[in-house]
Amino acid sequence: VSVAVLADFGSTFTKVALVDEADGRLLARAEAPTTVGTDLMDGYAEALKAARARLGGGNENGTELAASSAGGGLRVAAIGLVADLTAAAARQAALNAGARVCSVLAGSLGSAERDELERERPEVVLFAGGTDGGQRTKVLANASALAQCGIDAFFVVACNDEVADEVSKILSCAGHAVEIAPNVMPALGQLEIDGARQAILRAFIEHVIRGKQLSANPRFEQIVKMPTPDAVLRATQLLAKGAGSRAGLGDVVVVDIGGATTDVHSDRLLKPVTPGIDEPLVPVPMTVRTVEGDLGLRAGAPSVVDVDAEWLTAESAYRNPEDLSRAAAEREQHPQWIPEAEDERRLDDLLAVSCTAHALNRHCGRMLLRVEAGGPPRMVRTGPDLREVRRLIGTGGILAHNDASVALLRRGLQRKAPRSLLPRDPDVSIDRSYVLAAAGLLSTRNPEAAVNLLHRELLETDE
Amino acid sequence: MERLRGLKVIVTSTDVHEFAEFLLVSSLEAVGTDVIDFGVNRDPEDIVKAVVETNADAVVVTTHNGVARSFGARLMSELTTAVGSSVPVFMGGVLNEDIDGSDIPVNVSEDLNGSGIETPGTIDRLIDRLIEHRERAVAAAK
Repeated sequence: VSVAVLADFGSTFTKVALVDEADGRLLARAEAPTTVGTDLMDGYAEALKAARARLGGGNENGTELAASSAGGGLRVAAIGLVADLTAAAARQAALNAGARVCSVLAGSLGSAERDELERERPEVVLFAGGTDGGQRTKVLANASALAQCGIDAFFVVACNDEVADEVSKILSCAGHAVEIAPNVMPALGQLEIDGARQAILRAFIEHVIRGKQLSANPRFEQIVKMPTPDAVLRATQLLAKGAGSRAGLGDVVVVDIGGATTDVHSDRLLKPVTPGIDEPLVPVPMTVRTVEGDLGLRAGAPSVVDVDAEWLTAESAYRNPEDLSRAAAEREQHPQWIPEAEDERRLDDLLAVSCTAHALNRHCGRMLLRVEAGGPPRMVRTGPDLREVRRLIGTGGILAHNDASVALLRRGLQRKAPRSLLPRDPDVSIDRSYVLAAAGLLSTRNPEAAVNLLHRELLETDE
Repeated sequence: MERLRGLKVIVTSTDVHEFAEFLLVSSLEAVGTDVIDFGVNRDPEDIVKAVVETNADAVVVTTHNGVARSFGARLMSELTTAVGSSVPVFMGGVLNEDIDGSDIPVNVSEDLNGSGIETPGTIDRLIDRLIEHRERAVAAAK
């Protein structure tokens, strides 16, 4: 048996899965605290040792692949000309590459925007603007404005193809590392984000991971292949589309509840045709990842309380908003804390319901009636229509270690915002063995084995 | 038609009438312009965003829903703020709107012309006006 070692360097835990590389069987798994304070490979070695012990030893020469969100993940700034055209396209490209989008800048850039970038310190800047053969002057002016920016970031240039070389020259002459990628919006109504996504991933592997100095061991840079959210998105796509003899499930949504953020990944196979309904200016891609930076169970707990105080005080033991805020602040200060008291466990569950409800409502589109002065009312769809999604998968520590996690996700789904296009009645699975990231990694070697891993661990163990 | 080759023209509609927009797209493509088909049912703000990203040379709007004057005023105001007054705007279709004191929608072509929007009336005249703008721009560039 050829055993693949598939690791996920998370912000708090490093998870290791040992998987049969040929058929995708999960042989053993283990986790250890992520050792950001010392060397990331220390935690990896500990988790790997525990997993190998469970397997009964041996298999020390298999493939090693890892995803990482340790050390703050991948921070990307998205630049465009118009906020809901090229800037929105750049933002979605960055999100689909598994990034945390720390800034979205549009319009004519100047010192205020340079200051923002210097404050946010992105590791990659995705520079978009103009359709192919379109705007030149403003794009070049933005490049010149950014060239003077005092940041040590890698630039991915995905703008009007007629000026991409010139933009690249302006940035590289100012000392920035640059790669040119295909335009994220080559024409109005056309979103082409995969080329920029691939360029961001290359920048992550070749520049960002090294720059973070998370490990002195050169092996670390060799095994890390992608940011963790990118691995999860690949797994979502695999489940939806299938591989080899495994058919796809159709539309799939994954909700990943973490300490600081809640991510939602969705993959749709068919675009609903609804004549007479206006779509967003930038078309919604079939594969979408969104990240909610204010929805999390630990660092994000105070902002969840801000977003959902009324519901949380009504449902939890904390009937007084001040007590609830204090409980959230405790969680923010102690991100590793695992509650034991019943009331505290219940509050964690309710926070998870809040995260699920708000993250899904923001991820999915809404059907709105827009009325403007002097014009007739119009139906507008703001994002993806996920009403027909057949499978919802939950992942993250709170769900993996909780007997009631299916019920928590269903409760989040029931809190549908008015006119929201949330999944109506999906089957729900929980990623209890943390195989989503592992499968995303394995898919780079053997997609069919990766789908087998997902089916066995997520679908054949239905709760 | 070589004189219009490569001229970037945004074509769109204020309402759901796809046929008029299709007619404009087909005709302008046939005479060699580089048509940017922005679809139907667009706001003035959306059209201006499209001009910024594409650096269009002209905007052609068809309208049949009785909003010509207010739509045109908003479009010109937003466009001037975003890119100045260098991009010619043409409107056609049914150029009317309810005006204070009118019993029925009245023709607003004069108001549109006053705000700088051209109303050529037919596609032939629209093409002639595009050629004139092109030639003037070429002469100015020299």
